[in-house]
Amino acid sequence: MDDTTIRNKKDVWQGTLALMVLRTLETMGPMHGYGIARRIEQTSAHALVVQYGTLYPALLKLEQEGYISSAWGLSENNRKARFYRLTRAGQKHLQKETREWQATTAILERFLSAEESS
Amino acid sequence: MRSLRALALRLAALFGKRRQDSELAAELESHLALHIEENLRAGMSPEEARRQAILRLGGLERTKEIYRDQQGLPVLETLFQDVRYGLRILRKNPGFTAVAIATLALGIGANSAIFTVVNGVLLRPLPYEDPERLMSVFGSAPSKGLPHFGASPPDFRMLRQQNHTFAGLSAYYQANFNVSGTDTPERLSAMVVSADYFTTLGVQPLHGRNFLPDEEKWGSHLVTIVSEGFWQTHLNSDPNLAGKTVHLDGEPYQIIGVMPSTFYTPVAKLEAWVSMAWRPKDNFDSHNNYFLNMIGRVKPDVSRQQAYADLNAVMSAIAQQFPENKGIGVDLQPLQEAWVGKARPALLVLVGAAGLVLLIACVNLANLLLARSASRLKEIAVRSALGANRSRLMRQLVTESVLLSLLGGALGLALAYLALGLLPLASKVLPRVEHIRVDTQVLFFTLVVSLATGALFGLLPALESSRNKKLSESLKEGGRTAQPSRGSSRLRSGLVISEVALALVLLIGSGLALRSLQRLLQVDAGFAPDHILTFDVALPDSYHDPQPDPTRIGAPPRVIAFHRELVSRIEQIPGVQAAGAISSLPLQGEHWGKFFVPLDRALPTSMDSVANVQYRSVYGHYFTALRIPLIKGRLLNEHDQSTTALSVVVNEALVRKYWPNQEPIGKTILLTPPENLIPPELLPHGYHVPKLTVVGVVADTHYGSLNEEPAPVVYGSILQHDYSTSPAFTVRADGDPTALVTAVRAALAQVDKNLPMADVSTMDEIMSTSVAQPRLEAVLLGLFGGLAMLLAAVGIYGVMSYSVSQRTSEIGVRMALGAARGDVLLLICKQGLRLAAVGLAAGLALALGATRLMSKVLFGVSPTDPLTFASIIVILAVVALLACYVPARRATRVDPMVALRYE
Repeated sequence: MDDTTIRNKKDVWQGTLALMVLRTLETMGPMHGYGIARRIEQTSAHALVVQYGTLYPALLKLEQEGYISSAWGLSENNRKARFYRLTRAGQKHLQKETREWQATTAILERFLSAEESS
Repeated sequence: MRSLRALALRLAALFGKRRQDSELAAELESHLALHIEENLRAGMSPEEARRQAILRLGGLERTKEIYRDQQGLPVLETLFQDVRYGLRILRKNPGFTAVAIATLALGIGANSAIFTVVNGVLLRPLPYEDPERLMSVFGSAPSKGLPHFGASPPDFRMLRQQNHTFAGLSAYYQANFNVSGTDTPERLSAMVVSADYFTTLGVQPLHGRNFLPDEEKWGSHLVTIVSEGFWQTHLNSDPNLAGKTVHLDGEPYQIIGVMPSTFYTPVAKLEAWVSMAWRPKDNFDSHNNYFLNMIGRVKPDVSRQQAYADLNAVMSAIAQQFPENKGIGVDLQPLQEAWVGKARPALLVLVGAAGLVLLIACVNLANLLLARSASRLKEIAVRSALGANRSRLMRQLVTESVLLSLLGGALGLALAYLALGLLPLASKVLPRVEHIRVDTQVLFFTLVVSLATGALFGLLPALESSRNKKLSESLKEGGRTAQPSRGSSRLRSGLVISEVALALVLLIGSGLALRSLQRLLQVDAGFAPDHILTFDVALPDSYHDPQPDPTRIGAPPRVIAFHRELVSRIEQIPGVQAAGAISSLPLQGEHWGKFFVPLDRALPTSMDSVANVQYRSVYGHYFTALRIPLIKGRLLNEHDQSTTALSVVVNEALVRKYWPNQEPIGKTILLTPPENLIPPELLPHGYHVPKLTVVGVVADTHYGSLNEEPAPVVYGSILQHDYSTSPAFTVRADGDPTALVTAVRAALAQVDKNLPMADVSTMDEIMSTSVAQPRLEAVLLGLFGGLAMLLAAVGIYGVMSYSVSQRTSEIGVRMALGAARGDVLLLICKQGLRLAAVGLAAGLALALGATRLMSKVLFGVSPTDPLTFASIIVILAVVALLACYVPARRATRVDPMVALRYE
């Protein structure tokens, strides 16, 4: 990992949220904003609360970057909603980010446990 | 790059905003609906389901705002918003806007114009290959008071051959040729150059080839490279040069190349370059003829000091061999410095002046904005109350001022462009005028100056009016006009003080330049320039001796006959009072020096101590035509023949220097070194250097520029002494001298129909050209100074008017209590004059330091000239008084009743 720049908290959260959104879309297929939020909350066993003020800007940013695309459609209850789907670029990005995330957490874990045992 | 794509999308979103806003609203609405449905399914009552969902959704507006920020580019959006708002504000106050833009346009325009000139003349490198390695090389004899002069041809050749530090060393001198074989005789302005001249500069001809080293040999030297202009007019732009010749001074020269018009020389309108070669034993080709200019290209990584040491080592080796070279070394100067260095001090003074004008304009505008922000205080307070923080408010205010300065800068650039159209008028004053143009550097400079100006004059008022305390107070005050805080009126006073100070510095500067010009114009040139026609004639080779004879007395018979016939024919023209000839005209620079040995004292024992004086050869009624007064003795005339005693006339400067309080008439002199210092092989057997007798003394005439002391001059008649190959003729007319041109040309054609009349001019024109630079400097500084005074007056007026309007009620009370109008007048004027006095004192201190930088461009007036200082201070004080008086008068008309009721 050569990315040693210090990021601020909001960015970390946004970056993590983006990863969660991409992962959710990969496992669940196309989904609307509400569904994504619910799914993330459920997966985290309600440990996370998705602020919608963060979710929609994050979705917009991902779309601007070309990782997801969106279109209006009908929900399971016949309600009009905007559906997001993962693009090929998003898939690649997700794989890359997952690898990096796993590497980071592994390092961090080793680091933290080493600290404890000393 | 992903982020680039995102940036592009966000930029694009700046323009399609509304549609996306509604999309987000729809999306959030559907989100809400989905949430409510789920809550309903979970068994909540419809009201509870809705309440919970809305709670969870959080601040709807805030979400929208964050979304919007992500969607577009908030920084740019606020900028656009501020710009739009600023433009609207500016449109709403057309008077203020017009004054501000006009002030800025003048200030920025002056700077852009001066920068354009400085950039073209001083900064832009010369258009040669690696110009920083090019050096101007001079002969130098500091011990004789001659820091820079030319090189002799043998010295040049030795320097070129024996140096170790130069990749190329070339020499040149200017010469004029008569083109024959055409219908009317034509004079060609040319440069005689050594073969490596163009290769040293690193330029290639457009067509044909450069000179070859062999073409410096006499016999193979009849080759020339012509200018593109000459090639177009005389050769119909035919690129095939084979067999093309041109007759110069009667000799057929083969045209071997064409130089592109982009090739730059400091001499205007050069039409040809001719290979430099000397016929064996040519008089010019000797060690004591220092007339060649040299340009060298140092090898890479050779310093100026190394090159200097190297060339001077060669020079001292030459002096070992040739004693006449003793005491003569060389000096080096970067070529660009040598060519434009003289213009530098004057230009830098103008840069400073233009900068001051802009600074004053800034102060003035800051003041205007400050006054205006007082009336906008309410608006700003409301914005602040609605949640705009201080930096946001300041950003908006500064955006407004930068907007103003950019508009002013654009207009200023247009003004500068127009002003630069007048540059051809300055072509005799400034070197490299053809290199001056508005280019990207100038545009960039103007942009930067505009932005900086806007920030400079906008920041202070913005800081002041966005102060929180003030804002809350202004809201509290309700409908009444806000009172200025003590801080803001102090700021305003400070601005006026600095404005007056800066204006004083600038005005004193322009006052000094004007005084200096006045002094220069008062200098007695030593002749009467009115009603004089002058022209040059270049005498071709056929007039001169093929083999010069050093023992002959006077000019060759053909040259004398030419002078005699031409002068007598001109003097027969009706309306001509007198005519004569001289080797070079007054005010054209010191050209011709000779050794000078007075014989009434011990002879010098080494060449180092042989003096130098200026020499002029004359013929006919030169002194009479120019009305140069005879002080003593007699003038030279037709009776000074080769058979009579050799006579000379000297000027008063020479008498002052060598024979103070002595009778100069009858003194004998040599214009050569004494015989014991001349190498015997140069003295023909039985020949003795001529002794000359001083027969007359004439008044001093300025041959150099008017700001130099006249140098000692010896005049000799061409009947008895040396002569010039291109003499200047002077004709005094009864009336308009230019009316004589046709008749004089006809007279010349009768004497020799192949000789053109060149450099036709009146002496008045030569006079005015010689003071053109100081005149231009004084005019520009005067212009800047006037502008500064106007701005300062407006500044004081503005502040005083504002103060009067603020103090209306106070004045009303005073008047109600019995103060007379005179008292009120005094009260207000005193307030303004106190500011002006502080400003003048500060300006005086500044000016004492600043004008010292001008000393190089001043003549006959000290940089701290008390008269200039005093009169400018008085003028500015009077202007300040007037600027206070008008608002003070208004204050006296205040009706106490109205003023009190208003409160």
